[in-house]
Amino acid sequence: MFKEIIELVLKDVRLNWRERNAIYSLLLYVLCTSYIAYLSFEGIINERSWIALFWIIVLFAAMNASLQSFKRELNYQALFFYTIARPRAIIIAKITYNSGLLILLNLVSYTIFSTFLGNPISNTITFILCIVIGSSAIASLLTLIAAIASKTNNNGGIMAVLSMPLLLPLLINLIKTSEICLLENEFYLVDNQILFLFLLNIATIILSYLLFPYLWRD
Amino acid sequence: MQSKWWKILGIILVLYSIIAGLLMPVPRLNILNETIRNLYFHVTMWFSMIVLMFLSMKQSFQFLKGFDKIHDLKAETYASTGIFMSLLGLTTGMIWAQFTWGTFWVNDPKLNGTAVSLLIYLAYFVLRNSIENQDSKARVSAIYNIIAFVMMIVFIGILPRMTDSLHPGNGGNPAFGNYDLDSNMRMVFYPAVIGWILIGSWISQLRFRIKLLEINK
Repeated sequence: MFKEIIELVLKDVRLNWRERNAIYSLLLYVLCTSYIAYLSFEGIINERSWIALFWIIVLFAAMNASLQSFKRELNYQALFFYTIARPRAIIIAKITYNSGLLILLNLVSYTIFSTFLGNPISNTITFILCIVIGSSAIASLLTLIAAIASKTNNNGGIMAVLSMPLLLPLLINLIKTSEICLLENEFYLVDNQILFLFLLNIATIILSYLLFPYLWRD
Repeated sequence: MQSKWWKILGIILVLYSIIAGLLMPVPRLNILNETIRNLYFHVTMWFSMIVLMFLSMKQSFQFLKGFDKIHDLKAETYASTGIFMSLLGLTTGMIWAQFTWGTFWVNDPKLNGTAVSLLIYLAYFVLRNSIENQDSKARVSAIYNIIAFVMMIVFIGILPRMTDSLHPGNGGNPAFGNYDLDSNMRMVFYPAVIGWILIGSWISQLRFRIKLLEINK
């Protein structure tokens, strides 16, 4: 099982590296939106708006990234994957790959964002921890939703409708944590929030692990 | 379906809670005053909604076990009745908020949680309607229903406890148990909860039977 997951993650990395334009388009998206934010705020932005804007851009980049995650597996190559891999390995591999991609993407976004709009965060290490855990929580939830949405006719629309309400509390929590990181340098002030994000991530992964085989079997 | 006793019990309990809820003595509290009687109608709706959503999730589980369409239909009707109950709970809560907090809507974690849960369950119906294939529609929506229930418990059960809330029992407010300890109120509140749960299941059973007739026609 473990070996299978690693193989599947490597397959995803290789395939997506071969079609790099998807990754480049995500980077370009982040770059464009950050630049638009820079132009519209004329470089002067208060801290709360900085945080809200950052997480909203991250959220939409994440949605774009995970929308594509099942375009191969659940369509024309479905039968092939059905014969060679276990569904649970597939979903765990997808979550791992998407988490990795989103963590990288969001760290890059953080860099781009602070170049254009400045970096108001005082507790950078905790904020980066928050980005890492938050991105993986967003990624696992979005992967599960993308799997569900790929079964419908209107993929993109359903994806937005299903994931927005599910992501909203996560996003509020992330914004709250970031606001604490803005002013305070102590880690113990945010440990509850970080723990909540972590547990929500675990819960989502367990749910995907249990439910994906039913989605897969068609 | 044949047993009638629980329906009669539900009617009696709800009638009792309406009459006793409006006539029985209640503790005199500042700001709340007589609006405390809304407890019998507002809080009971949420209890009833959570039970209905739980039943809906249970039906979805059973569907995934045997792929019997009856369970899918039951899950849908329980969820729609649950949404109805949560709308009633929201309305009674908004009226109560107007008289105690001064506005219909406040930025309170519990209110946000319920609004989000409502959106999640509305998305469940959007999802159902967007899949044409009947088999995959039942299966996908059953999976989503289970996710929705777990997330709802997180959003209305765990998340509000992490922050301050205007609702009793959270962050410095008088706890729910404080005025609920009044034995008079308890005598009305618990029967009201049971009564509304029974009425809610009865409504969903009726809706389920109507749908079954429509399908078989």
